[in-house]
Amino acid sequence: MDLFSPANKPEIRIQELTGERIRFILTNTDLSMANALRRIMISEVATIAIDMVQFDLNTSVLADEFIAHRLGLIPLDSTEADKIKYPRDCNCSGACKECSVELNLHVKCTEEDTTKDVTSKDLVSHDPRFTPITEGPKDAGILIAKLRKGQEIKVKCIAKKGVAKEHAKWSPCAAVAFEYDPFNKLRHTHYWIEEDEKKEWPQSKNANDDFPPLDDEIFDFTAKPNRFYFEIETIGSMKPEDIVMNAFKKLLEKISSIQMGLHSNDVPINGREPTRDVF
Amino acid sequence: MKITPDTKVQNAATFEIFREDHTMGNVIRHKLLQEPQVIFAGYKIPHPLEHNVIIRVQTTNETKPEAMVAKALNDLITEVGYLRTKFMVHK
Amino acid sequence: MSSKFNTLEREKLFLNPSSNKFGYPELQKLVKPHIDSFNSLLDPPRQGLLNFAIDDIGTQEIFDKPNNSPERGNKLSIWIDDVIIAKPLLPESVRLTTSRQIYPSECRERLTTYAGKMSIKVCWQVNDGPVLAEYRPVGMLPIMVKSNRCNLQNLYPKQLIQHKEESEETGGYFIINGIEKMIRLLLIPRRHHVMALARSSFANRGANYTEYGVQIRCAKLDQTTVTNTMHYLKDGNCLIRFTWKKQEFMVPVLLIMKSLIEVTDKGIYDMLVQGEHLNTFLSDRVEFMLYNFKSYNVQSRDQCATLLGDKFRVTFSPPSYYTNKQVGDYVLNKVILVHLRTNKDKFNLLTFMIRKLYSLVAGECCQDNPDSPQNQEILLGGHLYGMIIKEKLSDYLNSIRAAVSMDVNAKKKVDFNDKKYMNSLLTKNNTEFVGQKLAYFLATGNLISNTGLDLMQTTGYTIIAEKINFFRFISHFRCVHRGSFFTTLKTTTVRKLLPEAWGFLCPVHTPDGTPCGLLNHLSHTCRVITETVKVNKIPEMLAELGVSINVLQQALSEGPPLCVQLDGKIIGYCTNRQAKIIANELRRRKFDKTKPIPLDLEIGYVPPSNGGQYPGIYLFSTPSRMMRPVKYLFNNKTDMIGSFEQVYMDIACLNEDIIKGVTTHQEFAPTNVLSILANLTPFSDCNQSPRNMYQCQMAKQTMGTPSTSLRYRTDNKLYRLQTGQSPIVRSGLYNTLGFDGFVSGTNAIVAVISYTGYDMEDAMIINKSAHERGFAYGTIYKSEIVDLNDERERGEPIKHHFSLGEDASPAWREKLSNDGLPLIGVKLTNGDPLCAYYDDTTKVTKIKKYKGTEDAYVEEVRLIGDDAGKEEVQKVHIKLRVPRPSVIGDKFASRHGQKGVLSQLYPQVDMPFTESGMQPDIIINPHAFPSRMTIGMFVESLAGKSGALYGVAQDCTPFKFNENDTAVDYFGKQLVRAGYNYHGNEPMYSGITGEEFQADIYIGVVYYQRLRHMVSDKWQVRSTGPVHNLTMQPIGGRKKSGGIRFGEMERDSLLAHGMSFCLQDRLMNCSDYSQCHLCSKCGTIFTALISKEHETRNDVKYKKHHMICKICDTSKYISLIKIPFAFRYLATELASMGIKITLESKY
Repeated sequence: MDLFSPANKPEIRIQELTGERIRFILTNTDLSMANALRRIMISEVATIAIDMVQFDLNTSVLADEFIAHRLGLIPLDSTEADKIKYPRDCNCSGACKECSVELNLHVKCTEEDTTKDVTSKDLVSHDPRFTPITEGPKDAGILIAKLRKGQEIKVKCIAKKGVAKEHAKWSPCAAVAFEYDPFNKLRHTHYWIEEDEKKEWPQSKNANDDFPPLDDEIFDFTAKPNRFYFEIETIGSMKPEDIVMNAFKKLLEKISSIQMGLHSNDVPINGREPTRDVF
Repeated sequence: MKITPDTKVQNAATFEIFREDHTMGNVIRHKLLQEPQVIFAGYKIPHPLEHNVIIRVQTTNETKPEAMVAKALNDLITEVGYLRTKFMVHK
Repeated sequence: MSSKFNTLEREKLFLNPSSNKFGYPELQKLVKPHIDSFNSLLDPPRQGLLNFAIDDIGTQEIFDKPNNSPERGNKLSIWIDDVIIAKPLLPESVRLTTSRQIYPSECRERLTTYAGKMSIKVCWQVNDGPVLAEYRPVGMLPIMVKSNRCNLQNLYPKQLIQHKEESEETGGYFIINGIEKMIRLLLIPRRHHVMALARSSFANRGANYTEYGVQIRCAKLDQTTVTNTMHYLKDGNCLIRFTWKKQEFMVPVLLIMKSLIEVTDKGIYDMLVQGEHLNTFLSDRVEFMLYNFKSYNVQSRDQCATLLGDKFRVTFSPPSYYTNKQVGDYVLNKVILVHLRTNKDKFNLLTFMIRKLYSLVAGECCQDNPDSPQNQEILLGGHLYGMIIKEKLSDYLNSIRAAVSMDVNAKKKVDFNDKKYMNSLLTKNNTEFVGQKLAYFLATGNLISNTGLDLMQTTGYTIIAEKINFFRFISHFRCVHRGSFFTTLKTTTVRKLLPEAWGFLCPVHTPDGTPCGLLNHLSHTCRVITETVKVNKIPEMLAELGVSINVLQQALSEGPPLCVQLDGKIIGYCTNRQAKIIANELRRRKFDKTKPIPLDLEIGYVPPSNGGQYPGIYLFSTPSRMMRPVKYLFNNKTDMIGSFEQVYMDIACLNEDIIKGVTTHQEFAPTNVLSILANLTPFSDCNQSPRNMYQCQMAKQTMGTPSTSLRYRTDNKLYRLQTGQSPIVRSGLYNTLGFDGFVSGTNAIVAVISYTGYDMEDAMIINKSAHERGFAYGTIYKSEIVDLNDERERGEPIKHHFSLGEDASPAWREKLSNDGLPLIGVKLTNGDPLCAYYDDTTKVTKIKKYKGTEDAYVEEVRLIGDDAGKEEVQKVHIKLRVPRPSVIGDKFASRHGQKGVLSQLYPQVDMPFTESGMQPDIIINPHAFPSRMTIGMFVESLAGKSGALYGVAQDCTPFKFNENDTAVDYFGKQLVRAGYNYHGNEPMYSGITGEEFQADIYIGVVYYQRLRHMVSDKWQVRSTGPVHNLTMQPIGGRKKSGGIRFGEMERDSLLAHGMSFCLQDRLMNCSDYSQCHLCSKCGTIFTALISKEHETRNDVKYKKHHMICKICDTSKYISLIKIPFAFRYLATELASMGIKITLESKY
């Protein structure tokens, strides 16, 4: 298949781009590629998240592990996550500047009548590149715990780079909408109808961007899906377009590393000649 | 990666890729199946608690499984690279 | 149809708890029967049950001369004049305090008993001298929380929170050694109602007996009861049976009747036959009975009473100076129809009983079903408590009498005027006798009584009010048991759900298995009456309406006259025509403003029928009856109806059920018949009924929010769901009772799809990312109590002190601080020190180890001082926290009896997704539905989905929809409006390939509960380990790291598979493998012994060890064989009995 003949050229068209979501259509590529992109965006785009919490003091009503869990789920700005090493790639024994970011949280409630909210805004990062995200000055931050008078939380957090495959807290996106063939022209699915399809099945919004079937259209059973509608919503740690970019990058990296693996296997296996005729 | 040639079938081999999942398995299989020289291409994840992918490829006599996998990977790189630049332009 | 989350209202209740009303008053009402019955012990003042009890106990008359002596000597009259129960207060010995009150939370935390000081006023009089009185303490009586003797009485959320209670604390339980105990409600025969019975056990009593009898349970004012049974004999005679101190007695009914009032045979005949001269069955038997009685040769009342007294003088042991006639009256007073005051009334009721009995024998009326709620009432905890107290008090007086007579017999000096002697009499008893006995009763549930209290069981009266979650806790108070006697019964008739139970006992909420049908739950609207209804005007009113005591005045042409009874007292007779009018008129007058009849009066009108229940008008006003509200259609007001009258009333359920001119009442809601838990099952009307039963069980096993005052609780084990959510789909009652304060589940996105195979056979797949975000994350709180008092003898001085001495190892210091107690938040693994103490005598620091297998964190450490607050702390309570994130093998369930285990935490990317990118939290298999038919779950899924889309709570109260207005349509339309499929389906894509599935998938939001059964508590594995020291076989039991029995059937299956190696391995090598020596000549395994002969070789002496058979005297045939040790054991056992086992060996 010639990838670069004009008819077969893969194409991306961005429909909508805001601070928190991106909508685009991927055309002229195959399902596996589109799905690989989706999967990588969800699970393999690296971000920064709090991974270790050292409790110096916790007199709140919440248990240590419960607070630690909440801290882990707070999105940190990961725009420059690629500037930091994965802990496993770092030569240090525990955590160093190369592979981690330290954040501190120290809140004590001194108010008499009301409770004090401990929020993500109280987290002080040692690295200005990696801070808890906020939506402007009005944003109250993400609630971590509530303290009453005399209660105090003092913790040291170590944020590390990771991917959502390992833990959901490293996922940059909330949901990835993915659709092809809104009119079911490929007949991949079989709508279950009781009376009237139009009444029971409202159309998806992607139908506006697709080509409705003609009344007498003949079913092409060889047709393959080639228009993929994506919508990605970020949790805030990364701009939505960066998620897509990083996903492409990650995909490339993955393929190249497999390529490398394949090359390193270019030694005689079981006494046979290596396959030299590849390139 | 570990490559094990099939002992019984000519021009067939399994490729075990470590620390990969359906993402790569599916996309490589798909690319392989687009090649006319590939007679068989399939992948599996032997167990959900094992994080490896096994791809099995059988080709015609004209070529070798390793070659076809390499080609598939190459094609993939080209395609992803192309898409990436497209995306960057549109952005 | 949408409901409300009431988030802000709830927040307000939490932030500003009210100081004058409850947030959820309906919740308080559920526990009311318990509290009110306890309150009635001493309330109203001087008229409480205990006051009636001491009146009934009466005066003990004691003489200082032996019984058989001719002179009587001095008379000591002694009686209890008053009972006082104080609120729980600190003893006077404690000085350093500003407030003396003890609150329940302190007892829970200190693991003590919540009890108030009880004292009695003992009065005595010598001969006719002055009355002397003394107040005597009788121990610390456990007090019901929130009763009128509790310091929390009349407190409202604000103050309750200040006293470390739940803001909506309901009370109704006792606290015994820190454990919350409650007295179970029991179903017992309805009092003051003559029941016709036919039991084979009656016929087995003797030669002349038949299976027929009538029975009445009579209650005194203090709620103690005596049951009288009248037996029918083959010759037509009737005998009365009663029990006195667990002994049974039979008396001819005519003897009783004649000793009650002065009456001629003619009078008795007329009373019994009541003008039915044509009824020869009746008249013949009455005549025969009267004729037969001639043999006793007694005529007048005096003669009869004297005869009775003569026979019972020994058993009843009345004061010795009583004449036989007085004894006879005493017996009549104590055991015959004790609910009636006058002998005339008793006589009248006996005639009624005889008539009913003859009618039963003649087949004119049917038996009454003792298993039907119609003929049942409820034994309330407070009443039982009062009965026991009464008995203990009466025992006290008896013991004084016994003490005097012992002294008299021992010829000791007995002087009632001597203060010292009197004092020794009064204190002869254990001073704590009442308090201790009742604490024991509550702690064990065992009833120790010498009268039996007219009850059928001696154990199982109390249960722990477990706080596994709030549903379980509140259900305890609504649960009624049929009695442990019935659990042993082979017949299942007692367990049947009867139509009479409608509205009183929930048809859904009963466990399956052994207690099925015996352990029921009251419907949420059912009330148990605790106050006595004022009925003194009723007889007058009845007379006005034409009820006359004189039968013969009635026009007999209208058929036999109907008897009108009020609480088992015959008011009079009327014709059937009148009866109907009277019943209707009485009911109408319940709402009459001028001459009101209490609403709680039960008007049971049983119309005459052909072989049905014995007709009459039976009015009931006593406490302990089950009553429930229904709408009186006459004026649309709330009428209370009882379980007796309901059977003969015309009550419509829905509007379409109303039949004009017939229907008088209507249910307020069809869900009123359901218990609390059954009400909470969403759309339970769409489910197959057993599933709703399962859900009621499972709701009680969920991990939820057991309490909102967790910090002040010291329960052995508490389960807590950390990430609970308020359900989107909830029934009306959920809001009414404020269950949002105690959430017990999570709204989960559930896809019904067969995916990956990991959802087979009721397994479910959970999204790994959802799990990582905290889905169904639970925690267990466990208690460890260290009591250093256990280390020393009673009375010895303290020599152990919590502290970490100089000699403590550094490893201990990581976990413990200098006071020897663990640091808060520290992690403990098996073997870590839990706390340390210094021993004065040995001068060493010792530790108590943490013995749990799981890692735990120290949550709280509580120092428990002694009661006086003087001694050094010797007891600590350590609360440990065990985190329990869900793991593979944990159990989950929806609210529809659909339980399943977690089989795989599946990566998010591999989960299927919808076009909007939604990925399910839970995947369940569609095969879970066809056979179970839990359509309610589908509807909940739809409702949850639309509720989530619109941000509203959805009402799922059952029976709100019908065939014309279906729930599916209602929610389907909402979904279409939100851009979703009408049926709740969505096209989904495989997460693995991105391909669209061929079928669209049913996906929605279902509230999921995490059940408390977790693998961490259940896994059991063993390779080798401890063995039984007699058989050398592996021991059983998870705690002891034993094995699981590989039994005969398992063995058979291995045999059938031909897996001989595996069989050998399991049953021999891994079990009780042993080696021993066999002499194949004589074939025994015991005779081979080591011969210790010495051998000289090359001038060197060698010890020669070889086996030799003692019998055959050779080592030639000895060989080492492998046999199971159990076989050797068998051989030894047989040998000890002189049986020899011979083994034949081939080699």
